[in-house]
Amino acid sequence: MSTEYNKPLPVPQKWSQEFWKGTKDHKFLLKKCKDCGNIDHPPYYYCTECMSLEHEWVEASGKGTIYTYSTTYMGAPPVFTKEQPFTLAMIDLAEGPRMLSRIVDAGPEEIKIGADVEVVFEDVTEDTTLVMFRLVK
Amino acid sequence: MSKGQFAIIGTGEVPCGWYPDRSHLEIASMAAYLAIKDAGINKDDIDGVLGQMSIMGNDWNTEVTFGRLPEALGIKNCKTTALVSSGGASSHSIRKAAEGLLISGHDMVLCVHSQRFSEFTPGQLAEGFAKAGCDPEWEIPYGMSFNALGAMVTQRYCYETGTTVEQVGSVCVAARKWALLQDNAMNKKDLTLEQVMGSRMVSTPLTAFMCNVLADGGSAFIMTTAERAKKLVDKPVYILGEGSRYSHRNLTKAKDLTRIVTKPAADEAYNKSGLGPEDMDIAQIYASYPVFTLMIFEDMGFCKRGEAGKYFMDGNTMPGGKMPVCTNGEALSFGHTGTGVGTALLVESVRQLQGKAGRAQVPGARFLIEDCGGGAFMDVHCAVLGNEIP
Repeated sequence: MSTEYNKPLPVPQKWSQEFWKGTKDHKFLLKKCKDCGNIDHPPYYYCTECMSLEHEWVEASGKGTIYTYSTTYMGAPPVFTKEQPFTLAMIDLAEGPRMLSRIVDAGPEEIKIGADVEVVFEDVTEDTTLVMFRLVK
Repeated sequence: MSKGQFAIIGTGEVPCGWYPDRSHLEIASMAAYLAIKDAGINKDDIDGVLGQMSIMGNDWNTEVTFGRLPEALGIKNCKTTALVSSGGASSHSIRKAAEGLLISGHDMVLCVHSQRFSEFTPGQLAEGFAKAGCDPEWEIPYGMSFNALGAMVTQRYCYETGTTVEQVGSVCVAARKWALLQDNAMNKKDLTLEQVMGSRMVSTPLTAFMCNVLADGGSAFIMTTAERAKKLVDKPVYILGEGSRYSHRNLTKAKDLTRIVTKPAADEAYNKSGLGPEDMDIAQIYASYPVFTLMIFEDMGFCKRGEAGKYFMDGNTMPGGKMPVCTNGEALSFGHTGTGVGTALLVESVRQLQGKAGRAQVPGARFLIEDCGGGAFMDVHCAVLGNEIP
């Protein structure tokens, strides 16, 4: 954890604040519709399937597989330049939704499409914890 | 819109590249001047002026919103002026807005795009495009960039189809061959596949030459009804059929990352025109990253899934090839003018169908399909254009 964190932090909407409260407690929450069971990630104001406003936050397993990925060597936004190379990936979560994140603790050559991953909570500031993933070995 | 109801009668374009001394208004004025002269009309026949939103150029967008264009261009009989935005503003939305004006009693609409990137530092551009293309809550905190988006799609497409990265790279080689035939293109030097593959790695598997380069540029076109167009110019270019689809904001929400939504949009455009891929003389594809050229080319019906890479690698889409693709060199080689890539392709499409494409002219071109889209590949708009109504 660094007090000089200079990278952009998530800007939550009213309806996603629960998600970020969850990550702070190292819980990976997903917004599930109480009426039709649809999980919206990213979450929106109402259920994007049935328009219901009734929802609950369910804890995800934190498991998923890599749908695609890319290791950035140059051209990242300036505040990320020093971290290059880093690997971004789209993760197909066990619960269904796909999300963008980073793969940590792995060399670029180890990362493959279809690889199993699990969640890692990165406390980037006192108030913010990002959801990242590592390979299941 | 019914088949061939509207037509484009003139186009204008300024050189694309890095021109720090050229203002937004200068680009717009030059492009509009050339379009009016090209159409051979009296400027006072124009009664609608639409400006296309520029990316990051907020002062210019404000100017257009506040009505700068008709005053500066001396469009004395202007009834309506507006700024048009959206992913598909690049050629599609602005054209639809023009059609709306024509349906509601306007006679002739001038559409203008102007974009400057040279006023920003490379850092500002990298940051601007991270913010513009990526989600501030779910993507930007992870270091997302537009190049990484294109790279992830490339990775998945190659994985699913067996297309090689070299085949993807060959799209850039073909784009450059076309750009060399365009006086207004940014890139003036030939490019080999070895150079594409050997350039610096940006985001795996995309090398520097597989990523487009931002540039200043602009173009303009004039639209009217087909009826009017026939009386004004020798070869109006008719809009024969169109199809559109929206897909997503965040690329993680795309249903299929390796197909986006081209096929239904292209099929709709073909159906409305009564033509099919076999009738097309050219495909003008707004891709920005070479993998999208392959995906869209396949979904436009020119190749089976996974076969476009070989088709491009074999040179079929280059000048003199069986099926010319992106005859202006597209974002990859003509230059990426923000929201204007599709407009530049539309303008080039009109030139081709009017027989005014100079060294890049495809002999006898009658029909073509063009597409545009925007955002993080959020939408696809296909149009079949022709210099006759079949």
